[in-house]
Amino acid sequence: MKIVACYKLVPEEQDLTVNPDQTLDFSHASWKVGDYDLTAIEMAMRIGEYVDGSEVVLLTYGDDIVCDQKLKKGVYARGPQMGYAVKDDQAGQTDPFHTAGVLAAAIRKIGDVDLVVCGEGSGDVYSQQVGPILGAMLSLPVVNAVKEAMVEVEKLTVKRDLEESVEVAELPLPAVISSTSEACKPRIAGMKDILAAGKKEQVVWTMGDLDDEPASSAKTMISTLAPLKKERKREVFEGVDSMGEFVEALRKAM
Amino acid sequence: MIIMAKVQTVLVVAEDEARARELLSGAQQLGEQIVFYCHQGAPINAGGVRLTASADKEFTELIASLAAFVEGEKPDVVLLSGSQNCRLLAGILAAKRGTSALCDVQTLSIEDDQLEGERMVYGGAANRVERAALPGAVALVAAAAFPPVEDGATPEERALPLVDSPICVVGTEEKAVESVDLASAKTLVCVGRGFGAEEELKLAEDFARCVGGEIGCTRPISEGEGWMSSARYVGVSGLMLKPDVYFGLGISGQIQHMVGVSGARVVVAVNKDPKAPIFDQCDIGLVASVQEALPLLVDSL
Repeated sequence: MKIVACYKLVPEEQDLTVNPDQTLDFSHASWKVGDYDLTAIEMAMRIGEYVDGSEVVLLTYGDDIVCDQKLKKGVYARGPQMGYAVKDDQAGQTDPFHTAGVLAAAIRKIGDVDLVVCGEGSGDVYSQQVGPILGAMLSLPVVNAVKEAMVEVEKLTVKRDLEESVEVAELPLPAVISSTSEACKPRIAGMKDILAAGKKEQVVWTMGDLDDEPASSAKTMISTLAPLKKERKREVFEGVDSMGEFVEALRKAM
Repeated sequence: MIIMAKVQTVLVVAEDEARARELLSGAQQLGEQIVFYCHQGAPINAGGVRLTASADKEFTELIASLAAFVEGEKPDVVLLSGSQNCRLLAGILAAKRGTSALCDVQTLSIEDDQLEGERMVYGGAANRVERAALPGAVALVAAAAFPPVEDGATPEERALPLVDSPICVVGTEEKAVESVDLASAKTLVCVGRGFGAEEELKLAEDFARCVGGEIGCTRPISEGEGWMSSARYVGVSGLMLKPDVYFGLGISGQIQHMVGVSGARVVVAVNKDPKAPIFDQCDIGLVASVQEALPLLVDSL
């Protein structure tokens, strides 16, 4: 079976700085693969290893960063045979609907895909929506919150981590699933894996290479601003010797 | 007095009664006619139409039916709670209507004939305002974004027309769910990496008992160490709370956690590192290790 694992490269949020007008400055941010996406890749690998003759391929959408060799190696070293990237200068302005449209077009072009595995949510915006939208766009059965997935003939059995119970559900293949963040531990890539990953094929498509043009979303972004911090009193006492004063201040405040 | 623009029809979908009541009060502010489906709990007397489905169906198996209902009725706005199944449904609905859902919104209003919502992005480092075209907007609403609606007149009941589900639920396994309601806790005691071993959490429990508080934790404590269930994890992708008093014990003050309690009236911090960022965001702080400070605090309070 052919399995596609999707991932997104995101800025390291710890590196974001705030401009005087409360907008965010990404220029000093390093980039990384979304934490949750590594879990999805691992889930795809485990399913692929269970079914003889499987092929696990990667798929991502982003701007020039998708071709960054160091990031590519870090992801490809986790096991998949090869991968695809859709490169688009405008990817930074995307939203889940548009992203899912791009991924859907790419998956149709890849062809004969039996299963698509997405992460729980992206590491930056964390809407947790691309998987469900992608499933609907491809007119395939789709479930999220998958902590375990087992493949039988033409059928997938999943365990879903819901709020109050774990649900066991069956869906026909092909299908789209989103994993949970704790579904499995991503394998650690060794030096050999990383070296080999550099040689793995990455097919890079532009938007023009896709057979159908992904629609843009009816949702628009108005602003993304750092929150104004609430001013706090910052009455800080040093050491347990000042416990008395600390307790006094506490009593007043409570 | 500001009269907010309204839409005609709003559909509310939630899995449990508490969230449904919150969404219904949000829906009342947004729309004229309200249709709702709540999967569990006592029937709520609010809105114009209450959808019903046979009790032997799991919510997952009703997702296709709810999607078909939306396709037929085309409500101007669909409001959903943030449960996993509602997230799944939201994506399916949004795909069909050519949009993305407004996700985890803490506010909702109608601006320039669009549905506007505000949410956090980049792990709490920023708030994002987005607008979804009307009609056809879908929004996943954060818990406690609206006050719960009180019971009013009995709405009309209508059976949700069922369609085949591609997904079959074949079983349910129990999950060790800790029933803890941190959202209504007046005093919240949160623990972080300053606790070096699981046994030391007893110090925090004793302290919490002493101040009458509930215990929460940072993400590393629940997802990293597994010392506490995710039901107690406070911060982005966890709980967003507005306690009266918040105690951050052995917590450095990373934004991903602090946004979860930024609405607290009083923030109290205990940390051995005087340079910990939490001391810039607290009202009262004590520079001391939790191991040393907590037993003394319990004695003096």
